[in-house]
Order: sequence, then C-alpha cells, then structure tokens
Amino acid sequence: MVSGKPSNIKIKQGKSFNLLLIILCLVLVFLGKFDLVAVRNFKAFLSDFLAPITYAFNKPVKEIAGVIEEVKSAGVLRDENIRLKSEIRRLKALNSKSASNEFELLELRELLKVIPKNKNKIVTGRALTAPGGIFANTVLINAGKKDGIKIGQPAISSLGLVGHVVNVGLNTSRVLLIIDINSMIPIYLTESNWPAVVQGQNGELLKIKFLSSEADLIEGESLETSGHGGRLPPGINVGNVIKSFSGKYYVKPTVNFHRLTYVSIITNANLKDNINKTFDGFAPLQKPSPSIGFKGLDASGKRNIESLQN
Amino acid sequence: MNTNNFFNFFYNFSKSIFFLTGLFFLLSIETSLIFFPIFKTASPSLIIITIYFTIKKFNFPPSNLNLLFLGLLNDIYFGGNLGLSSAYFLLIKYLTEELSFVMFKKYDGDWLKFTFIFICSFSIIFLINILLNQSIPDISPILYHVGITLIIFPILNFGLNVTLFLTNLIKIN
Repeated sequence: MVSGKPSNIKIKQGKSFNLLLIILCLVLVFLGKFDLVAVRNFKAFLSDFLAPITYAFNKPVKEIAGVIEEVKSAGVLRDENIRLKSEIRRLKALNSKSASNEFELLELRELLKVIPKNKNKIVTGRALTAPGGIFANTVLINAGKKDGIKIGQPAISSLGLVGHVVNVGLNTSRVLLIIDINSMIPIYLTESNWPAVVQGQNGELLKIKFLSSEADLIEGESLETSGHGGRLPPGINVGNVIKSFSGKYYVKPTVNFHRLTYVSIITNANLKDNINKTFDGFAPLQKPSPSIGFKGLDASGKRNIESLQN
Repeated sequence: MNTNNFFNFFYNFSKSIFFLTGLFFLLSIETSLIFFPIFKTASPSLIIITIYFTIKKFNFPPSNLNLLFLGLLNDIYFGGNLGLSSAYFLLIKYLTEELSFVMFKKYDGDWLKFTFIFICSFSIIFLINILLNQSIPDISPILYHVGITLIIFPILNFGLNVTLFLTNLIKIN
C-alpha cells in the first residue's frame, strides 16, 4: 500500500539519518586532508567524467558575459584607440632597446661561460570551469596524464603565473590558483630585490609573508618567482605590489582569473633536479645603477610626458 | 503488491534522479555566474535558496542521499574539500526542518527564517574551513556572497509567490 503522510517514527529516522550523514561528511572532509591516493584518483576520475558537461554548461554563460563586456567596451573605443596608439609608440621604443640589450646579454653570457637555461616544455589546455567558489579557487583544464602533465607542475598564462597542478586525470588536470588560501609561492621583489612568500586569501589579492623587516617595499614594483624549493622555475611574473587604505602592502596578480581561457603547464619532467644543481642560495642583489634611456623615456622605460611635450 | 512496490520504488528513484539532475544544472549556472562582472567577487548561493524553497514552499524535501551526492559533485566541480558541501547542504536541510519551526513559530515571513538558517550553517562551514586551512581567508568575498544571497532571496521569493498566485488563479478559472 502506498502510504499518505509519513509517520513520526519515519520522520525521526530521517532526522537521525541526516545528522549521521553530516557527521560522516565531516569525517570525510578531515580524511580528505590526508591527501589519500584513493580519494585523489576518485576525484580525478570524476573530473574527467564531468569535464564535457561542465564545459557545455559554462559555454553559453561565458558567451553572454563576453557579449556584455563587448557592448560595454564599445562605448570607450575612441579613448581605447588613442591609448593603444601611444602604447604602440612606447613598445616600439622599448622593443629596439630590449633587442640591443638581448644582444649584449648573449655576448656577456658567452664571455662568462654561463650554463644555458633549459628550455621549458609547455602543454596548453583550455580552462573548462570558472575559477572557483568561496572556499576553493581551482580551474579544470582539458589536458591530463596522457599529455605528460604531473602533479606539482607550474601553470602559466601569457601574463604570468596561474598556479600549480594539484590533481591529474587521464584527460583533465586541476590547477590550484595562486589566489587560493592553500597556495604559497616563493617570490622576490624585482626592484628592492628581497625574497618573500606570497599566499592567496581566496580573494583578489595576495598576502606577503616572511618578508624581512629591513625590506622597503615600493608601490607598483613587480614580483617574480624566485625558484626556491625547486618547485617553480624562477622568473615567472606573479603580480605587482599595491598599498591598501590601511597602509598594508598586498600583491595584485597580473593574471585576470575571471578571463582565463587557456592555461599552459610547464612539463619539464625533472624540473626540481635541474634547479637544485645550479641553485646556490639566494642573496639580495644590488640595486641597478640608473642608465641612460632613449629620448622621451626614463630609466625604467616609461614614457616621459614632459620631454615629449617640449 | 510486489508490482506496486516495484513501481513505487521506481517512481521515487526517478524522482530523485530528476531532482539531482535539476540541482546539478542549477549548480552549473551558479558556477558560471562568476563570469558576469557583477558576480566577479562571489556568486550567490542559488542551491541553498532552492533547497529552502523545496522544503518550505513545495513541501518536497530533497532526500539526504540526494544532497550528499550533490555536495560531492559540487566539491569535485570546484576542487574543494570532499564532503564539505555535502555537510553544508545537509545542515541547511536539518536547520530548515528543525530550527524554523522551533524558533520562528509566530513569524510568517520567510526572509528572517532564511537569513538565520543560512548564516548559522554558513558560519559552521566557514569555521570548519578555517580549521582545515589553519588560515583566515579574505572576508570581502565571503561577505559579498552572504549579502548577495540574502538580497536575491526576497526577489526570488516574490517571483515565486507571483507565479504560484497566477497558476492558482488560472486553476480556479
């Protein structure tokens, strides 16, 4: 017989079952923290399985959001055009300067017999999911084990460091973004030359940790990976220092995680060994002496507006 | 009798699968909302609002196993700690069924009830998350998430009430 209203005993059983499941879930959460291989494999398998569905669901919303952005940007096309023209002029000047610098660098490397750097092997995949939720900031990409991706390998975009691989399936990989609270990246400040560590906060900015009390931060200076620990290669752009209203310094990542379409994974198999062979510790470098720039450009390559107006 | 039982089981099973698929679809929409500039900081929790509505408005509480699987899917989707979302969804269900009857017996409005349930369960999950990561995250996206969910709730509630009123009106006529 099909019953109508559920009895009190059934309701009570349902509530105890609910509580039991909550406790079981919490146990699962703490077990998951031990990073068990079985749990990791299960997650990777399901990620592989869900990837096409995820992509299909994300695609229309992404397209609509893209259209809204385009409509918005159409209003500022004239200003954007003027800005881009001046940017092209500035980049042309910088390009010729960097070409001569590169030639000089090659000659100096030849003279000093510097061991050549290993070229990075890169695999690029499309980001399948949005950059994450409230408690986790990860992105799923459509390249996996069969493409040579392994756990721990760094992920980059054209703008800088995106994160590192935390889980690999056969066809998909999950990248932990640098804005996630579990991400800690060893960096150095490119102008003041101090090493530090940046940690994600599940927000838009990164926190600077383990920075020497002697360090004098410069607002706007860029940060690059230092290569400490051998997990990440040195020299990848991470972000810029910004000052908050409270006077504290934070790092704004160069990568816009909401516009992430393609992610490249550096798949050098023995990255850790290579770096340890040549790495002799880190010491703060001397500040570079001011050099003579091109006419209209200052020492850092920025456009000198006053001289242009004259 | 056996045939009846079989069809009853089959009916309940298909209902659960349909419900799980629907919630998963909603979950995908919720995730994708992040691409819109307004939800850049955080997206609202549409799933939580839906779970609340199914219990309070439609008197059709989702099964515990459904919520467990949905939570697991959510964690795999976002790459979060496996089990945390399941605990969150189950907690919402438990509090909606228990607390709202105990604490707000005389109060008819849904917004205060929902606010209380949502903030209570979110705070518990947030504390567990802090315990797991041993670090306090940036508060602004969390406040935005809570705020935008609480703002969207009455809008959806109003929309749903209007729809229910209109369907009833059509039925009577």
